[in-house]
Amino acid sequence: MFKKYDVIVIGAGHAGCEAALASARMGAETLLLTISIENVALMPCNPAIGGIGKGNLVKDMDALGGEMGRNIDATGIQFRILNRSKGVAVRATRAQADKYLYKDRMRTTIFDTPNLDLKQGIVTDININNNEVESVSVASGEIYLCKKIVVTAGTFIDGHIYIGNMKMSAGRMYEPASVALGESLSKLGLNHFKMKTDTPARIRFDSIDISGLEVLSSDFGNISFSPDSIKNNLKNIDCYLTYTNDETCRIVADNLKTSQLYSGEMAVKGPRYCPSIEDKIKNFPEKTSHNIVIEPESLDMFECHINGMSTSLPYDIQVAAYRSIKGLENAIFTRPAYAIEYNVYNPKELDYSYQSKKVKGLYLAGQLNGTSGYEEAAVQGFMAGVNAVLSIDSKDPLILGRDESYIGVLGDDIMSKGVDEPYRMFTSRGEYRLLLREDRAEARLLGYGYKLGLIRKERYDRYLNDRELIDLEIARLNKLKDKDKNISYHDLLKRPEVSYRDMIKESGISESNLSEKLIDQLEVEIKYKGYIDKEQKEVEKADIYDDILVPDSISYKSIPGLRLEYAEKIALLKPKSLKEIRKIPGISPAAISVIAIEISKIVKHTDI
Amino acid sequence: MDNNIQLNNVNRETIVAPITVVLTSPVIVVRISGLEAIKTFNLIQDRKGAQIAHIEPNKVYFAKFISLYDRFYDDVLVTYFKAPYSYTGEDVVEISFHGNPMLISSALRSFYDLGFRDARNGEFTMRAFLNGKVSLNEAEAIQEFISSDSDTSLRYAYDQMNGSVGVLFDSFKSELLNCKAILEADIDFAEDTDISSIYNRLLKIVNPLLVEIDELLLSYKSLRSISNDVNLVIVGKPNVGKSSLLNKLLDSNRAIVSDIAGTTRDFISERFLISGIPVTVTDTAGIRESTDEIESIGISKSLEVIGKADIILILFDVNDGDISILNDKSLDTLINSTASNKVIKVGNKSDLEHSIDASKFDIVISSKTGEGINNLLLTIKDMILNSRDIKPNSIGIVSERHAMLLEIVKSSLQSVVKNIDNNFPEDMIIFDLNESIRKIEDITGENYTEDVLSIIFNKFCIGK
Repeated sequence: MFKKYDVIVIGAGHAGCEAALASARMGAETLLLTISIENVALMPCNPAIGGIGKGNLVKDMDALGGEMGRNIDATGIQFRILNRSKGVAVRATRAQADKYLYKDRMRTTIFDTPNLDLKQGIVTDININNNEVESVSVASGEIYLCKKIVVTAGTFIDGHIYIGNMKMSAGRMYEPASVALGESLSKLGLNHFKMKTDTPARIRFDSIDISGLEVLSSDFGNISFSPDSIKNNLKNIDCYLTYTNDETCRIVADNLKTSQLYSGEMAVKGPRYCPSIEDKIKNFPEKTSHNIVIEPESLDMFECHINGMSTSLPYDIQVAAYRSIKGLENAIFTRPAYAIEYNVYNPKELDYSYQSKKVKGLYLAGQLNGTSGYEEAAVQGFMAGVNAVLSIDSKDPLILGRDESYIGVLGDDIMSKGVDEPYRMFTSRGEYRLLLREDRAEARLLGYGYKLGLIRKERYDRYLNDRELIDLEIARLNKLKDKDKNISYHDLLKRPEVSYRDMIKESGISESNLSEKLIDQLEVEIKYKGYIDKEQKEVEKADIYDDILVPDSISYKSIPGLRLEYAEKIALLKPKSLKEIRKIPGISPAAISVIAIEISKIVKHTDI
Repeated sequence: MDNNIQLNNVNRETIVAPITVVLTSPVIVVRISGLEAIKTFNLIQDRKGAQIAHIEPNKVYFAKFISLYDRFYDDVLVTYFKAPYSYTGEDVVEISFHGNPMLISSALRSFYDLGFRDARNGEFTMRAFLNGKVSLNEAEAIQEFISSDSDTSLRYAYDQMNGSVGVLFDSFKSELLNCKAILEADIDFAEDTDISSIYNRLLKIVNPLLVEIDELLLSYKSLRSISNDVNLVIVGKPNVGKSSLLNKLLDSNRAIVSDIAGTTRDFISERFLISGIPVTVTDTAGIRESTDEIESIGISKSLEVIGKADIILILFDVNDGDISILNDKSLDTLINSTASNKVIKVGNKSDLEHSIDASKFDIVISSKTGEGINNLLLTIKDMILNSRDIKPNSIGIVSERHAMLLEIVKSSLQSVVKNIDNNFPEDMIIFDLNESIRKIEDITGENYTEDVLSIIFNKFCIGK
């Protein structure tokens, strides 16, 4: 009666959308189930994509063939480059979205994608057969058969919202929690614990006095996440900077007891890097002036997100605290701030393809893995969707290394170390910051995307062409000499005070036809060459066992002394040589040695 | 054997490591294995001071090893084993040094300079196995060995280090992490910051740190370069227990040793090491127990030896009321005129006495039971350090590897300072800072990524 799908994705937030799109675009019959079709790709917290570390995730996923980059490029209403002065390796793209345009475009894209069905439904059961997923039951009675399931339910599984003493079951404000799905996952043997996060109140923009507040505007220039995007025609909006003060802090401090968080009700971890106002005041009592940014949520300019004022204090205290802030004296609330507590499934129970180690064909991705942020969720959804399809096609999974992408860093971090607070990406989490910089996303990952069939040939060719142009120009600068200074222009450009454009102008050598983006890239590659080479060398440190080939008959699990988590990780990747094993994140030299011994044993046995 | 491990064809690194415990002991053996092992002979001279022309395998050479870096040299036994007839199946050179850890440090440094690297835990045996030199059973034993968590063992080795230097490295570590946290917090969380104030904060940490590291390295070098032994002389009346004290000192230091050429045979002279510093200890017992007829010659020789002493250890029997030192006025006079910071008055035979007046002595011991010997060694060590103007902390860096790692920390921090001067962006600054942290991690055996985030969250108010 019901269609049999290759892949069913449960939940249509940022993770679910990417999982479903990747799966369908790779040719798998895909079903995306959501509690609310209206709220596909909703931004329930801040209306922004990107930022430091996060921008890298979005650009990387874009180079692999994800949707988020293009979606924000098309619906962004303020674009900025952060950390401009702090060096190219840490520069980050951030954009504010019109949250309604953002989700509408994503929903349209999903409806328009072949092989992809979007349906409304609350999942009550994940049915398995012989410890492998078989079907999904929906509250309204449908049962959909499938080969793989990707659960991307975000904060919905057994979610509870807190405002002051009020507690209610919800996945987001006034949306039902997925309680039955939680029970079903427990029955399958998955372990969970609780995490929490907060969001600030929404305020009517016309109730805010913006006169006297600092204005934060878009940066100039053609800023985008996807190199193929054309700048959208939307009007750009401003944000406004204000500050908390002694009075705000007094109100919050006096009422900490009224927050269930501090009266002991929620003994769960929230994100340290995105603390509630209660946390800030409790942990840094000497500081009373905290930045607060007023961010309009859409071009209609009705509601604003008050960034920095997330809280779970009672409603009346919230109002008093907000109104103590300059510009918000007459603030009218449209939605209160709240905290939400939800189920997190231990990511250590996943293998590196995001598949559960306990149930075959079951993938988990996004916030329910203990991460935080739309971008962190989206990239996991993408990886899970891709790997579900690769698994159906009996192909090796796509697993990115720590030197290849922050996506690889994220996966490796949460799966090998687990999470004890909502995990957010920071550039400092990666070891190879220079290699992982935003402008190298295509260089690192476009090849994978192209191979997966998620990147069009035109884009891949365009990239190869760009690469050639840069290489030619580097070669030219190497050859041409500045006669006065007696050094090549290549070496001249290495000096921090010299810019490519000025150098070309002053030197009188002919101009190249490089685009602005390529010029930026060229400058980075020349100026940072020494450091980039060092980092590359660090990655490629040759090992004496690299040339050893791995026989097919090897069983990693039975190698004495090899930690089980490594054994599973390696088995999944089916490496062909010890060199490939060495590149797997977290594998120690000692582990390589024991594997080398095992290989040698096998080879000797076969010889006899 | 096609898919077999043809390691002999792999362009592999040459590895080096001591294969005996690096403690003061009669002999410490160092093994070098790999394609370039034979380069070791660049550091070896024959008894006539010439390079060995024809290096024959399986032959033991009695030769002179000369460190490239300092005046250290040693008479050693060297053997070359030609591949595949060696322990590892590769070219191997084994050298037996005298058992002085400082000497080994210096030698290892010379080997690193030849391009050799430290062998990992079990790596010789690992290579031996891969080259078919050891059996399956043995290989399994190696697996057990290797799989004992290497991080833990590194940390263990670190914890074994001298306490004060451990504290010092921990403080370097936390200073560097503070620097990293300042930068990371700015990169990952802040917007529109004043870069010069951040750089000033960094310099306030890095510059003093550089001074400290420099001092440590300098005093380590001066320590390593002590090539003249410290002269310690034991004097005292007959039967106060001089020779049993000497034996006790040697015992407690797992002493080596050989006679030293050039010292008179009338004295019993032995060498041992205190914290890696070679000490010659001379027992003047020889004076009295040589022939009575030439006692005057003995006494004049004693005067000579005592005159050259860096430290004079005067031994008393705590049961003896007589405060005169020897039965000879000239000796007493000489010793009394010696600066007090060179003299240690030791009361012996505390095991026999019930009420000792300890105030008469600097230290009371029993050379019979060993009581107080450790205190005595510490006192001697302090005295040496004072006399040679050596920072006590540097004693802890007995490993050349640590010194080399610290050198890298130093040069990375120097680039940090230089790049800040040039107003380079933060991502370049942090690159060198990370390098310095990685090297400190190599010393302390810990990984600090999470620590940095904790520092950031604890010290900085994050979030808009």
